[in-house]
Amino acid sequence: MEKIPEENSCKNIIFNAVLKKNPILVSGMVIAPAVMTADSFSSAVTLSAAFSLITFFTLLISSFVPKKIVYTIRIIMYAFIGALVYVPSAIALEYFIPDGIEQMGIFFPLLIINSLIVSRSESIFFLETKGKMMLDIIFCIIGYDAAVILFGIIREIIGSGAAGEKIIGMPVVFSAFTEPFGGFILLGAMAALLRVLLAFIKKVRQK
Amino acid sequence: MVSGNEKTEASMMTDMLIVLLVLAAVSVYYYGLRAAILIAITSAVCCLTDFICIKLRKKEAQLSDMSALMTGLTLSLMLPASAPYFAAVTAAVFAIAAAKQVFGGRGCEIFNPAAVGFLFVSLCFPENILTYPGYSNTFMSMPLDSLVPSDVMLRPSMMRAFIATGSSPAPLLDILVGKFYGPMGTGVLAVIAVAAVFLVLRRTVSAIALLSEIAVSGTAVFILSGFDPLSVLCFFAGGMTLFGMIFLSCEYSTVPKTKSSRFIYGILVGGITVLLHYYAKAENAVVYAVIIAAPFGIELDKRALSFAGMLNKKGIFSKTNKSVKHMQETLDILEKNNEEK
Repeated sequence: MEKIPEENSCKNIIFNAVLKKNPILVSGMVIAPAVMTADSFSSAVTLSAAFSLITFFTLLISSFVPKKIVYTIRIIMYAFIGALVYVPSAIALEYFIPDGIEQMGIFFPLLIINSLIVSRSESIFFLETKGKMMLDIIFCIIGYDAAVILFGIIREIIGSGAAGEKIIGMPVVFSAFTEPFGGFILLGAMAALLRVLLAFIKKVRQK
Repeated sequence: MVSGNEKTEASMMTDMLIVLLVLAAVSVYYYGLRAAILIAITSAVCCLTDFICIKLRKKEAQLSDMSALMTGLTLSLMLPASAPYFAAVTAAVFAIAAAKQVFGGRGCEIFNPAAVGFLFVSLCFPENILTYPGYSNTFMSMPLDSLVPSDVMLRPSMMRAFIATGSSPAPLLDILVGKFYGPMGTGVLAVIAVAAVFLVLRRTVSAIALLSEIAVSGTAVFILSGFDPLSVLCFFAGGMTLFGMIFLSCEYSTVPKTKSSRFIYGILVGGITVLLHYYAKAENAVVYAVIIAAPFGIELDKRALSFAGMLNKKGIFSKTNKSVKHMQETLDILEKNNEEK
């Protein structure tokens, strides 16, 4: 039996999914909903919940799509599965967080065809065992959710001077960060900081 | 050793600084000590941020590089004299850190740093940045607190009234000498017009770009305002239009390199300014126009250079062909770019 290379160890998969290849901060995936909707802690949690539900179940069901089917048809099938998963997800989320889902607007149904679904279903499914694939997907989703929630918290503090919708008395509030353009800048700054952190981890590991 | 090109850039910077210092002096005359403090704070913070960013990037800081000072001066003149000091500091830090150093520092900027810094604070603190105090000839007329007390009358700019009514709210003389509610150093039309002539004659500012911007926007406003020349002057003086066209869009690091690109870029900036002014009711339309047109300028340059390269390869135009001066200059830029590669 072929020996599993070190790169594919569980520890590495988790590290890559959460930090080294973080879907939003490193790979730049699913940026638009984050920038447009996650301007506070509560909206970031709503986005994370919607993203997690739709992505996880779509990828789980998509993993049963046979490799024999041609690429074009496979992609259409993923979108179709995403649309099917969207219906129960929307019902569940509208029941638990109706206001949050309403605020997401068009960005909620657009999660059906998010880039993580396409990239992960194509690059990982046919190369890895199902267990490792699921581990990768779960930690990818955790990496995305953690980044989006942190992004929402920072944005709410510096953009609205509030934390969890409570005013915390910031001396200066930069309301531009609640706008999409400010969101892009903040996301860029967070991506740069993550790169600095990764470079530091690499240095420590080498030592 | 200083190359010929660097010498030209230093001379351009000196010209720009002279003009900006004259405008700074006029704003100190109108708004007193507070204007001087704002100008000093913005310029100092720009220089300090530039120095820190250069050190963080592990590059060598050059004393001859006055671009940060130029950005600081330009930015400070775009602010109202009542702007809080923290807003000036924020604008300066954002302009240098996010719009200049992130893109690779001097000469690599895509967007004009002063324009980006101003837009950022006008979005963050609109109530402080888009309301203006009246002018006064007394040196200590404005209080020196960071946030001006509520008893100081702050009003929307003259441009806001012009947008609302469609006709000039101020008489000709006031427009020429900048005696209206607006940013502290961008409304003195007479001085800015002289500065434009000086900079064009010194070849510091691209005549092609500037004239095409003025021609396009001036003609459009003249027609749209029902052939009212006072409205045209009001358009150029208020909303920092002429100031922005000279110091933001035609500044040597922002303007495209080839003449054909400069011409098209000028038309774009002028056209977008008028569109945003009349149809989006934007108060400082030129600042948005400069930012929108900047990426087009880069693309236009690329197209012009590749076109010139193609013609040169086919032997249609060459450097020895004296009849097409414009193409020779474009080929010079192309050669320089190839050498740099």
